[in-house]
This record gives sequence, structure tokens and C-alpha cells, in this order.
Amino acid sequence: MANDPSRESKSIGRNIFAENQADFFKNKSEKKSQDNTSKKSDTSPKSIGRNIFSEVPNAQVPPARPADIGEDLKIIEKTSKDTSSNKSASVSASSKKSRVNALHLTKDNVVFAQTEYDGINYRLTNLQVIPIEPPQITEDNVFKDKKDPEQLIKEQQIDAIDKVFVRAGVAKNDPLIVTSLNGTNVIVKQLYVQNTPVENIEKELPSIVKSPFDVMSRYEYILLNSDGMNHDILAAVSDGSTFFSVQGMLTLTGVECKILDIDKMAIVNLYNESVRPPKGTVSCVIDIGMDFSHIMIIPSGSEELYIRNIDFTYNTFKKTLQRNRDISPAETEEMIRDRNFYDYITSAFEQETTENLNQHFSVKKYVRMHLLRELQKTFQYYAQQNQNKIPSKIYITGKALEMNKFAQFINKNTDIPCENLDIAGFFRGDSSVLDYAKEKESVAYVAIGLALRYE
Amino acid sequence: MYKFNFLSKINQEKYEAKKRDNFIKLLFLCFSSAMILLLGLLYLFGLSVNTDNKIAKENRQEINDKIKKLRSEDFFDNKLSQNIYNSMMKRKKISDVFSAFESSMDSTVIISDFLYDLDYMEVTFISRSSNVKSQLMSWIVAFKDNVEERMIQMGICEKNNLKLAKGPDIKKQFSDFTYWVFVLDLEFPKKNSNLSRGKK
Repeated sequence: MANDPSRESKSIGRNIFAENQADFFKNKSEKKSQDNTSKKSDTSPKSIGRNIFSEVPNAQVPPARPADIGEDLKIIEKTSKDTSSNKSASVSASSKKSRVNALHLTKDNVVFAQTEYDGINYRLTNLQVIPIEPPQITEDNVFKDKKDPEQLIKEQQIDAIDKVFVRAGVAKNDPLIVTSLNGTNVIVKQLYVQNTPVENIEKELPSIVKSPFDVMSRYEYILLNSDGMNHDILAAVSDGSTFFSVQGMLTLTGVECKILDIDKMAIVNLYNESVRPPKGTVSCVIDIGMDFSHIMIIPSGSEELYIRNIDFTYNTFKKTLQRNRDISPAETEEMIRDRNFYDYITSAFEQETTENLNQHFSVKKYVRMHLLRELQKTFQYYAQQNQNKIPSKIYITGKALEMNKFAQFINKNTDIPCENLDIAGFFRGDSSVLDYAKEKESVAYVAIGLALRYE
Repeated sequence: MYKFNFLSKINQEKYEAKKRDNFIKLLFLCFSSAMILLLGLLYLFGLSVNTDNKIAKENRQEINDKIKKLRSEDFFDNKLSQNIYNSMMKRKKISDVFSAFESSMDSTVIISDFLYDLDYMEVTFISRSSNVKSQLMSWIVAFKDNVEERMIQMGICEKNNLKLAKGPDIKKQFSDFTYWVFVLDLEFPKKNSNLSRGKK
């Protein structure tokens, strides 16, 4: 049934978001069959819908792990125990090791990750996640607490940074501390620069990449390919305020950070290290963050690396759903975590009446406009720019890992195999650290990506 | 692996600044060390100067002794050298004596005669003065004292060695064309006589 072409065109996932093609009213047998299909696809690697973009490789969708955000820290210290049996690697590891400490700061978490690179493999030696929990506004304290919430978050971030460094036993002036510029005000774009000597690229970067931000914009670039005068570069522009706020925070906490990367690039590096894609493949990573989300198209060949910011974020989606269903934030989180994303976004439109459909329209519209349409636009743009190449596989990461059956939902709507990005499986090291990384994968992934920076 | 670093320029600037500071520190240290070394050398040199001074004093004494020995023993072995030395010393003394007289003489006095010996000297003066006799005597005494003082300064004579051997003849009649003769004599002191030193 999954391979039946006549069914493929009626794929619920695709039809429900397709323009003027919503088949809301179906008989029960069809609904059942669709439910069965969706259930099967939970465990089956095969896609139900027709893959309009590329061949469907086998994709295993691991069940999303419910992450307990409110849970207090579990301190995982570095151990000397090595779970790997690769002796040759161990020998080389003893001869040459490089340790990287990564710090990822968000409004919701401060995450510290430490990796060691022995020249062949990475070991995850330390991971700490400290949630930032600003006091909830209640009727009692709404008039009493006059403190700016932003200031409260900042204070908690400073405390959390101090804690992670103390717990990790890492000096704040360690030469290899990496942190990142986060958010939408950081643009990454691949460019082709002609007739320019390498030493002049930096000088001419502001004229090559017009910054949409203020005059204090910061520019950086990586040389991808060069023949002397013509270069393929990956340019990055950051808003001055974003840059200086991170720097200010580091100064406040006394962290002598010498490397400031970009969160998106950390995710790209994490993908490359985790998946190790074969040459010539193009993949897509959908990163759903609390406040920032991105679609990243990552080639492993000569194609362009393309990153697009989208408005579909976990927080906004949660608020929209909460408002629509008129439930508490905790209930909304539980719903996102436990209920089938596909089910509560899509099935409602199939099972409910027109009145209910109208009632649920805002959520549907939000997902459709800010996620699916953006995804479609991104693929179309990328195909135009890169000889009709589109991603052959989609990986999801970030808070999307906490959305039950989100990968399945994407798979249904794009006909491209989709799975969770494994952020801990490729590491060697203590299983307790790796288990903790797996548990905190929805918040720790950027820090882990930042720590994949062997020097 | 895509590795951006937005702090690379700042790190580079910091590195450059650190390098510059280190260079300045190094320069300062080098300069300070050189100065300290120089001061040390100067101090040591100062110490060595003192030492040399002592040596020099000893050397001078030694040289003096040698010169004395040379003059007393070897130098005058040659008669010609002795004669030359004596005549030179004599010439020096005569010129000194004359200079002592000339500095005290005025236009009314001339030297009439000059007798000179190794131990004794006698000088005859002629004065053509229109002063009264008592004034003339006073002037002659003052002249003698002046010359004596001068000679004492020159180390030619001792106190009261210069004597008025013959005063003007006060019995002579005073007229515009009268010449008054007086004589001063001096016995050279033994110790100032270079000639006596040269004698064996």
C-alpha cells in the first residue's frame, strides 16, 4: 500500500497543505488506512508519499526522546574509561590530543561541551546543561518584581556560566574556548569573488556582501576554493549588537574566549561529523530552535551551502497551539511531546467538522506558511541555483526532536526521507556522557557542534 | 569543517599589541641591562683609577729617586754636561736677579756696575735724583727692601741678605747734574745655590 501510486497522490501529509486540495472529508476506512499508514511509517523506513525530488534511501526514524527540560543538571565528569575497542585509534589518541571547550548561550539554557580529538575520533568528555528559568509571573509577584526580565535572564546566564566552568574544572582563560553568535542577525552566504588577491578579500568583503545591519556589522569569511585570483568563499555578516552582546557577556563573566563561531555552522559541522555524507550528496537540516529556526542545505560536493532563517520556532508554535487549544503551557508542551505531530496538525482537519477546521485553522496556517512553504521555497531556490539539485535527505534537530513524529510529518509533506540528526552516536567515550548527550540532544546540539573544532 | 572566528581580527590585534609590548619590554630590559653594565664598568674603572693613582705615586717617587741618583751619580760624570748645566743655571740666576732689580727700578736709576760670583753679587747703581738727601736715602732703602722682597719670592736670597754696601755720598753738594752712587751686595744663600748642588 505504501508503494501504491494512486495512494501516493492522496497522501494526507501532502494534500492537507497543498493549495486547494485539502481532502477533509474521508470515510473511516480511508482514515484508518491513513492512520495505519502513518503508524507503519513510524517504524518503516519507506516513505508513503511519492518522492518528487529524489530517490528514497532507507531511513530509520528513531523515536523522539522526551526531554525533561525542567530536570536539574546531571553532572557528567570526564572519565578515563574508553568504550571503544579500536586499539590503533587508542594508540594514536595517546600521542596527539586536542581538547575543545564549547559554550553555547541562549535565553533558555547555558550548555557546556568538551571534546577531545585524537586525530581520528572525537570523544565527548564533558557535557553540562544548565537551564535558565526566569521567575514565572504570577498575580502575587507581577507588581512586586520590578526587575527587567531580560536583566534577570542575563544574571542567571552569568551564574550558569560560572557554574559550568567550575563543574567542568576548566579555567576561564583556557586557550580553546569556543562560543557562538546566535540568532537571525547573522547571515552566512556562499559567494564567488573574482579578480581579487586573497589578501584583499577581507578588505573588500563589506563591498562584496552588503550588510543589512548597522555600520558596526562584523564580517568574516572562509576560503573554500581558490585559483589565486578567483575564490569561492563562505562569507558571514553579523549584526554589531549581536556581536557586542556576546562579547559583553563574555567580558562580564571573565571568560577569555578566543573563538567566536556561528551556531548555524556548528550545526553544519555536527551534521558532517555525525552523518559523514558520501561525496556528491546534498542534504537538508531543519533546525527548530526556541526562538530561531533555520533550514540548511548542506552539500558534500561543489554545490552551494545555503542557510535560510525561518519564522517557525518552538516558542511561537507553542503559543499558537496553546492559544488555539486554550490550554496551559505545560499541557501544550506535553501535547507537542506526546501527541503525534502529524495527527494533531493534520487529522483534525480530516476528522473534525468544518467548524472545527475553522477553529484549528490558525495552527494549520502557521505550520503551512512558516514551515512547509519556507521549505518548499528553499528547495525551489536551491534547485534553481544549483542545477536542479535538491536534498536527498532531511535531518531534523533542535526542539524538533521533542516534537513527536515531526520527522514523519516532514517526510509526508516533502516526500524526502527525514530522520533525527544523531548528535551523540558518532562519539567515543564514556557511555554516561553519551547517554546524557542523547537525553539533552534538543538543547545540547549546538554546543556539541561548536566543540567539533579540532585545532 | 567550517570554522569561523569572529574574534580572529581582535585576537590578531591583541597578538600584535602583545608582541609590540614584549618588544618594548625587551628593548627596555636591554637598555637597562646595558646601563647597569655600563655603571658597573664605570664603578670598576673608578676603583682601578684609585689603584693606578697609588701606583703612579709610587712610580713618581721611584722616578724622582732615579733622577736624583742620576744627577748625583751618573749625569755629571761628563764634564761638558756639568759645564752646560752650570752655565744654564747661572744664566737663569743672573736673569732672575736682573728681573728683580728692573721691576723695582724707575727712570732715575741705572745700573752702573755688576759684579757676579757664584756666591756673591755686587751691583752699583747711579741715581740722578733731584730729591733732597733725606728723601734720596729713604728711596734707596725702600728700593733695597723691594728688591730683597722680590728676590726672596724668587728664592734667590734670604731675609736681610741683601745689604746696602755703600750709600750715596751725602757730603757732596746738591746740584742738577749730581749723580748719586750706591751699592747693593748679596751673598747667595747656600741652599738656593744650584751651583753648589752641582759641585761634587
